[in-house]
Amino acid sequence: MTTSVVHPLAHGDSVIHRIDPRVRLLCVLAASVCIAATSRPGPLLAACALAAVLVLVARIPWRPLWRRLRVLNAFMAIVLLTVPFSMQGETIWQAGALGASREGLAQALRIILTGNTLVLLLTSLVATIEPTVLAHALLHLRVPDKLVRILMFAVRYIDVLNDSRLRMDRAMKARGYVARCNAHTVRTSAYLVACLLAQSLDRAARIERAMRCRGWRGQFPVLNHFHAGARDVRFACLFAGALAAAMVMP
Amino acid sequence: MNDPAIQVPLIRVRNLAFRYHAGRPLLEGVLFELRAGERLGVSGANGSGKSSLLQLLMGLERPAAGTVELFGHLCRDEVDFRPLRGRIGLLFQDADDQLFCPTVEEDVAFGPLNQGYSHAQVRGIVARTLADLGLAHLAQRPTHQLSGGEKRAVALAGVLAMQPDVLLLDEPTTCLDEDAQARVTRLLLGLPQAMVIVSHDPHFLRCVASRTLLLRDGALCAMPVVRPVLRSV
Ligand SMILES: Nc1ncnc2c1ncn2[C@@H]1O[C@H](COP(=O)(O)OP(=O)(O)O)[C@@H](O)[C@H]1O
Ligand SMILES: [Mg+2]
Repeated sequence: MTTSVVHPLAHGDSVIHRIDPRVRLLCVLAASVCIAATSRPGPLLAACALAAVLVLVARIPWRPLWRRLRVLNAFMAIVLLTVPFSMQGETIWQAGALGASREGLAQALRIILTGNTLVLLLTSLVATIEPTVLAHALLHLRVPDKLVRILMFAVRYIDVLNDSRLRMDRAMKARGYVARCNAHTVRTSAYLVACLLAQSLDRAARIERAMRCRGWRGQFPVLNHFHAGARDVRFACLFAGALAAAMVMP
Repeated sequence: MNDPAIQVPLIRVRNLAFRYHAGRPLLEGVLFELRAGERLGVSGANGSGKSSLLQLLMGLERPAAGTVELFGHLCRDEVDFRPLRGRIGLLFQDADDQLFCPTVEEDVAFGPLNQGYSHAQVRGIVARTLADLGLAHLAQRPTHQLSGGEKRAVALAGVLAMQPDVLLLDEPTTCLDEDAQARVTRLLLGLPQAMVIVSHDPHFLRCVASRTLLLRDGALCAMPVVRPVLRSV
């Protein structure tokens, strides 16, 4: 067995991990709407602090969290380098013909804060849900069946597909292939992609047959159901209260 | 076990012909019967059409000529095959094709849920099937994290959960190590169902099959008598 592409943050046992996934999804949805709707720094800072607290409570390991934040903030560096120079307003710094505006800087900081808050929220509340449970929770929240099935099959088969990619990669290397900047490399990469596509189509056809063999008629039965308890209600109330308090910050 | 239904063969195939590409026939005049309690081994070279034959028996491919009768019913198209699919279970050559549900428990439950059992009944069936095969400890595991042998066993559990009368097994032991092969062999010997077992491992077929046919040049024929092979010590 090779390592999984799907990264497990879900195998924890914090308070957060035990909250009903549906409740957690609704909390994230509510928080995202509020954060997107506000533009004042006070509420944004408060929401960011709330998300940070949740990350601590969920006992997310530092390494995967750091990796996520690094990817996001590498992107955000571009925002910080471009937005202040592209907005009109009071100039606070002049670099040749380009001037950075106070409003632009404030806007860039807002975008960065919003982005980080959302990543912290998603990491603490959604990444801690097992992907398959997440799919079920989405089904129960009336997200269209087809979309959720795509997610489920992706989770199930991404490793199988990745395995065949790694196998082909190794077979190519064993025959002396080295990726270079030439036509041969481009053609070989195209063959690899085409081969993976063909394999996926074949597999999809075989899976469909396997499903028909077991009586499938286009409807997916769900075996496990969720039960929200008092703890979930308490969490939802606490979260709603904290979010409301954050939003009325000066 | 004296009821007249036993007199009718579970599977009767007559003059079956099949091809994927016009002009390149794969099967021509396949002829056999499977009766209750029988374990029919089918051997044959790679690409001789063994998997295709099993797909034809399930109604997943359409024959060019000839007939397939399951449990005494003549089956021509999807409508004829569909109600019988629960009574005849196919174990696919690649277990990854069969295990598409997220967890082992749900995968085993897929068939019975489709058959219309209630959730409580399905839970019972799943628990019983997994326990019978000694797989109870795997119930909550994600299917994509199982080992090759575990995948094969869970796929078999998914088929058995539908309580079929006939099993079609496509190379149930390829890619398994000796331990896992021995486990599968023991498991198959303990099952009451009639089976068609496709394999090109003569030793395995001798262990589990009550008779063995060879698929060659598009038809099933008797196994040639094997001359004793020189043993080097
Ligand atoms: N879906 C398909 N389309 C075209 N040709 C196929 C298809 N499936 C199998 N074949 C071809 O049919 C032949 C028999 O395949 P198969 O029944 O899988 O053989 P076996 O299981 O005995 O190894 C092979 O030559 C294979 O390439
Ligand atoms: Mg085959």
